[in-house]
Order: sequence, then C-alpha cells, then structure tokens
Amino acid sequence: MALPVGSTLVPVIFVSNVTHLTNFFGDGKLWPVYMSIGNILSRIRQKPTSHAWIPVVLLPVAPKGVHKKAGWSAAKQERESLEITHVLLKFILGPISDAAEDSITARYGDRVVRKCYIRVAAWLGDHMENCTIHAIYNTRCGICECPTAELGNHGHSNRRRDHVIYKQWVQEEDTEQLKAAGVKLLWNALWTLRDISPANLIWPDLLYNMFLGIVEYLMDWIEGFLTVHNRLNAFDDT
Amino acid sequence: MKLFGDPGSCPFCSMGFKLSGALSNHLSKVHPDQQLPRKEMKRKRPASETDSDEEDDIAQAGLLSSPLTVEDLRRIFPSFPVSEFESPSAHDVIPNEHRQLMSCEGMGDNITVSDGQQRKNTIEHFPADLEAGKAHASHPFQTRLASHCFLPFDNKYDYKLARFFHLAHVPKVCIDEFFKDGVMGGSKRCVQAARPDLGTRCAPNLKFPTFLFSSAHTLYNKIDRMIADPQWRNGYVDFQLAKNSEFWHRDVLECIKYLLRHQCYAESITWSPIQEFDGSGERVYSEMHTADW
Repeated sequence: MALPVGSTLVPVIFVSNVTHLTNFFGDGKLWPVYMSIGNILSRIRQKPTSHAWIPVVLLPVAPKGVHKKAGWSAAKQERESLEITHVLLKFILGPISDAAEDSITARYGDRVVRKCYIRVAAWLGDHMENCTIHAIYNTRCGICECPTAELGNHGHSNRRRDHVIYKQWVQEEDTEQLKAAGVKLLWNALWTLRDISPANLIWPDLLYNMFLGIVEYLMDWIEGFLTVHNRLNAFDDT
Repeated sequence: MKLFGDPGSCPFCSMGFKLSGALSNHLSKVHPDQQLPRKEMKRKRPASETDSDEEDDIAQAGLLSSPLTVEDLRRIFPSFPVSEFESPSAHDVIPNEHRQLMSCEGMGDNITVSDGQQRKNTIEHFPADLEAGKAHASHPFQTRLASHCFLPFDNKYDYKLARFFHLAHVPKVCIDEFFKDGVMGGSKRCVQAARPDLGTRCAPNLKFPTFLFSSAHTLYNKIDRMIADPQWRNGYVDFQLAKNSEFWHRDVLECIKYLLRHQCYAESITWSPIQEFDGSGERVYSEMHTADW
C-alpha cells in the first residue's frame, strides 16, 4: 500500500527474548518485549544511554511441570501456553493494527505535527523466540518451508513462507498441510498486522545466529586440523 | 620536578612510580648525588620527540615566519590530508540541510578509490513532491508564564540546584545532609518561607533563595515528574497450572508517540527514505530509511 502524499512511515522494531533468571522455585523466567522505532538513526538507537528501547510488555511465562489430570499432557500444556501468548500478543499489537488503516498525528520532537503510518518492520529474536512468535515448529526455518532434514544444504529452492495460505489452512483446520509446512494450528498474532508478511519480519541476529555459528564451525575445523597434524597438544601445553 | 612529564620509572634504577611526587621523593632520597639528565628524560617521550622533529623541519623550510599554505604542508608532510583545506570542490556545494543529513549519518566520508581520486557516496532523495514527513501543523506551543518555564521547579534557583545535584551525582545522603546542615537557611525555614506567590524571586527577608524541596526524596519526586513515560498497566491470564498470572504491559501507540515526541531524538529522526549509491553505482544500505520503503 502506497502511503498518501505528505505522510511518513514509522517502522516499529520489536525485540524479545525469554531470560532465564533462576533455577529455584521451579525456574524463574522473564519474558520482556522491547520496542523502538526505525526513524531514529541506529547509532542513537543502539546507544544504551539514549534509552530508545522501551519495554512494552512482560509476557507471562508458563509454569513448569505437567498438570496431573486425565487427558492433560505436556504437549497440550505447551500448546495452551502458546495460545495464551498469542492471544496476549494480539492484544498488545491491537493498537498498531487498529491504527494501521489511518494515520496518527504525532508530534515530533521538533514541535511539528506530522501524519504517521505505523507498520511493524522487524521482530528481533533468536531462533526459538521467532519460532514461538511465528507459531512454527522449532526444527523448521522461519523464512522458507525447508524440511528439517535439508536444513543447512546449499542451494535449495524451497517456497518462502506465505502466511496468507496458512491463515486459510488454519481456518479450514487443514492439519496435514500445516504439518507439512511446519506450522502449528493456531491463530497467529502477527496475522492481524497490516501489509506485513511475518516471514519478512525475521532478521538474522548476527550475534546469536551468524557469529555464533561461524565461531563454532571454525573452532571445530581448527581443532580437527590441528589434531590431524598432531599440533593440538602443543596448544594445550602453552 | 614538573619536568617529568611521564612519571613512569626512575632513570637510575628499575623502580616504577605512578605519581610524580613519589618519584621526586625517591630521587632525593636514593639518588641524591645523581645529576638529572633532563634532556634524556624529555627524549623518552615519543610525542615530544616528534613535535621537536616537526618543528625542526618547519624551521628548515623557513616557514615559521610566514603563514603555512597548503603547498607547504604537502611538501613537509606528504601524507597530510590536505583535502580539508582545499577550496570547495563540486561535491561540497550541497544545500545545507542535505549536508546536515549526510553528516549526521556518517555518509559524508570520502571514500578513497585505488586510482587516488576521492569519490563520494551519492544520495538520491525521496521525490520531493510526495512530501514525505511534511509538517502538517506546528504544535501549538503554549506560551507559558515566565515562572512556569522551570516546571516542575518553581524558580531558577530550584532548577539550578537540582541540576547541580543531578549532574554532580551527589548521593542522596549528601543531599539530605546539605539541607539538614542549614547551609541555605535550614530546611524548615526553606519550606515555610517559600510561598507560591513569591514566584521566581527569593523571599525578601531571607539572604538566601528559598527551595521548595528540602530533601533528596522530594527532589527526585520532582525530577521524576518531568518524565512522561507511557504508563504501565497490568492484566491477568489463566494458565491451567497457575491461575491469575499477572503480566504488565504498556500501550504500544503511546510508546511510539513518546519516542517521536522526545526532543533528544529530534535531530536524529528521519522521515523520508533515501537511496544511497557508492562511487561505482552500487546501492549501499545502512540505516532503515536507506531501504526500499
């Protein structure tokens, strides 16, 4: 959708991650979701002292353990907490999807009123977080429908995730198709957002995904190389 | 002993010192008969060495009497970045607002290409007729009374003192002590004498200005009132195992408006996209607004 003349776009960035705080009392976890806007230059936004990231919600963390009740399994409980999370996210994102049609007139810091259209631009998080937010299986890719066994292969040509179809499948309760695509039968909170395909929200998290993976891979390779040439002990000794 | 610009170690033994006073103490006690090799000590500092070398060069070139020109600088320092001093070239003639935009994004940097020419990232702006981020109205800026411009503080003395306490990182205990000591006429007297109708002035019968806060607690209460944070709200959800789990949330729209109206970000907020190309015509992506909107 092209924005009307004289209006501006406010891309919203969300960040979330479950944080494990303690092992006592059956695990203490915190699940904060932060947000910021993309209009602020990144060098200002990423400066901790500029306080540009605002905590929006502390999502409730599902309790640990399985309910001792007939017909109540761990999978079912997991599903319940996922459903609750998505209902909550829908509630949190409600104002954005309500305001997406129309512009909000916001006052900028330079004392000028402008028309703003709000769109969600990114949801930063690690893989597990993205799987929860996108309601897909943990072993699947969030961007394309690559099967689990083929993950990591070079040059595959899998279909990009199309959440419009998923929406239709969920409405029809087409469990087989959904399972093949690795999507959980659940009304996703991100589907309420306008002009957004949730698959586009995923941004590679350099720190968690890329660098960590590269370092791990490199370390394996170097260690293997040194063992083959009988030089690993020399490093351990020094 | 100030000649020791670098009070690192003793020139006669291997003792190291952190303070120049300790070093001079050591010199007078342990090596009283040694002559101080002033020149050597000075030479130890690499910075001063280069300084003097440069001075020599300049003196040799006979330039100290006449003002330096770009050619002279280039002759003396071949690696000197002279471009800053050159007359404005074509790419420097940029409208002010554009230059400001570029400089604030760090895009104004010249990129030196291998052939020695200096090229610049070209920036294509969003079509101006679409008026992205047009100012629809200026905010009705309320004309405030002079006494209200220090809100939430009442007068400039309040404000200045609060600012000092805050910027100097004065601990709360010390702020309390400051008022208890009665330096400014005693806390009780402060509060009693400060009447709202006195406004910006100090009470006439007091030598000192009056303050409407008399402890760290009241001070920080006032400071906290300056921030209009989006409000936290709470709600409850029912898990099968844990009924009435509490969660906290804020209104997302309020948060966005809060970020937009924050004056700290006013200079670094962009509201129209740009397309950036480097010297060879490749698209460069850096910030969010350099993508295809």
